[in-house]
Amino acid sequence: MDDVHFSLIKVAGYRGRHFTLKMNPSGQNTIFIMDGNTGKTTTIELLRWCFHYPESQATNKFTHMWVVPAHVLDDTKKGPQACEITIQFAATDDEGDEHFYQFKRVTEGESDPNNKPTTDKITRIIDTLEIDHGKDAKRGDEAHEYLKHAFRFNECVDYFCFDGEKARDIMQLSSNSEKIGDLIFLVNQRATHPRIEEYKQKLNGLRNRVLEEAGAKVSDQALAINIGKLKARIGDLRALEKERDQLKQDIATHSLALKTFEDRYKDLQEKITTAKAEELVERTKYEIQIQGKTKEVMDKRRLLYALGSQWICTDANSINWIKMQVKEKGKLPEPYRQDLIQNCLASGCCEICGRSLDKASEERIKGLERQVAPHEVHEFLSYDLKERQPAFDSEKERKEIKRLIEECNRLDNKMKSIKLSEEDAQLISEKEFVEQEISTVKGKIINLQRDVKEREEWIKDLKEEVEKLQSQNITLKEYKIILDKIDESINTIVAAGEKIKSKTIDIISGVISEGVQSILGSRFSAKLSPTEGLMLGEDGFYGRERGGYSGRLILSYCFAEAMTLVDPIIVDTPSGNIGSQRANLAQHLVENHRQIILMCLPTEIADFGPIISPKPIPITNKEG
Amino acid sequence: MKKRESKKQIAIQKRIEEVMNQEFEKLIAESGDDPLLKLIRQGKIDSLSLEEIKTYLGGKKDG
Repeated sequence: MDDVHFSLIKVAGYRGRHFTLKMNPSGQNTIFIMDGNTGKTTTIELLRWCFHYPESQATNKFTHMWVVPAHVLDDTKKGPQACEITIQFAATDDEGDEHFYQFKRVTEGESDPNNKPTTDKITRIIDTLEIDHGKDAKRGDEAHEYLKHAFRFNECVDYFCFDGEKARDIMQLSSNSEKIGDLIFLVNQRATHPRIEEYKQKLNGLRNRVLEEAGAKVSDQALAINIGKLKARIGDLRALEKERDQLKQDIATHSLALKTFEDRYKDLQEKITTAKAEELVERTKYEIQIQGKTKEVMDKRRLLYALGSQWICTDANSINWIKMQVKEKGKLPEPYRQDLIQNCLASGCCEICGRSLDKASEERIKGLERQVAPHEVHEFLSYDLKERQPAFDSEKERKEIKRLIEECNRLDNKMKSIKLSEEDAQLISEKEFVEQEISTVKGKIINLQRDVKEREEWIKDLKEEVEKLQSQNITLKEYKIILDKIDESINTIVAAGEKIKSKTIDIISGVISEGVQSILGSRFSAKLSPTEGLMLGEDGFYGRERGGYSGRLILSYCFAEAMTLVDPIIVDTPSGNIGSQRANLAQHLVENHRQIILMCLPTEIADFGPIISPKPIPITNKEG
Repeated sequence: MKKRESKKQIAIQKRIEEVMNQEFEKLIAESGDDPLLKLIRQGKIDSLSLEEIKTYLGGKKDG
């Protein structure tokens, strides 16, 4: 399938939003004017979700911004709801006939704030691929399988749906010397060898002709049966080889995904470990501060008690008056005891403990008025206390203690509030997601490897059977020279296919360099090498930091263009930080793509509109 | 079935494929004098009869 042209992307119910992007007809580019929060990022993310994950694996795989996994359904709506994504596109087959495709993903469920890891409580996801307006339809995972084999959308959606996030990924990949291997692996995955298949088909066609002709010549029934069997076995062999090659391709794709997930896991693990360490350091810091402040409070309190006599006896006159009263009257001055004693005697109950007073108790209470203080009391009462100036300001100390206690409480609250931030919690959630993905992908690779091994064995058995059938058939002997040569030639093209892999890097490097030159000018170029990775060149000097941010962003664009396997390019906010290169980028896109779909901010229209599409289409979202 | 009108531009992916194919053809040509591959490159493999191919291969073998 070739010449893919996207005609419509419709989103209905995604987080309660509804919008439709209807592209201009085939042969024309389209610019949508989409202001903030109108669906630019969403469109790219939904396309990636639909093309990356088959129906059976799509639940909790949607990612939004840096939230992994993210919810699809409207979290402000109660009860059952659905989100529908429709993608329409056309493509031509080898004969140049155009076919129409409509992929639809319906997600049903409801939003539940208590549901984890997202608020989506999905009851089912339904994928459908309608071909040529209902002439054929693929449902469920079959829809994904069809798109995967016919268009390889799953492999290149990250590139033909381009945004700042992908640009950043590429920039990181190209600037990290430790990731050159990943970069080269990606590029090798991009390599396609359509000619190998074409040559194989021709050679197999020749083999079929030999069998047909041999079959037509035989009169012996046994030989005819032999030829029939041979044809069937060769057919089986071709089918198995195709299956095996496809499985190998799937292994390579999954290995790449696994590598990406493993790198992400490592990255997340480091971030989480750092976050935890920071949390501990912060906690310990508060704990030490609280311990220090508490000690200060205790020391100050001890001091206050120790120096109590220096600051408690500041009102000597009052105390001396009490002393005089006690000394002269032999009893405590009013109202200290008189009313209490009288009340007890009047009520017949102890006013302190509430017990009824018996005769003996009443007598004892009456005697209290006449009680004589011991010698020490007399001595105490006999001298006057002298007014003393406090040695220190107790009020100041009290205020300081109060301040220290408040400080301790504040630190304690801070310490208690230290727990995982939303960002850290997000990191953990993403780590769990990635962990699950790694396990799933590893499982798939093991299964695929088992399937490849199984097919290799079947292929070996079939080849032996074919050889045996060929040798048994005397009519085929006259064509032996052709049959032997067919096998030799197939081996030659397979070997050539392997050799070309080493040239892929140079070819892609050349294409990226051409792109960079066309946008940044003839002084600039790019180089991709297995030893140095992807670099921007200026006046023949290459480096990972050359060209500044805008130059590296342009390099990312050109890399993505070289890596995609379909022609259309859908870009979210194309200008990014490319500075004065907007018009050059627009011109470059026009010259290199059959279909450009730009989701522009209103401020970008002046740069891209006149060159790419003179009639930009404004987009607004409908809520509900 | 509708035939698609194609734009003049050569898309980047097409260009990559073209270069890859050129390289592949070069490798096939360099891989020696494979008579069947030569016939495919010349576009003759489907038009020649089996007898002619046999003779051609026999000649190549003898020569």
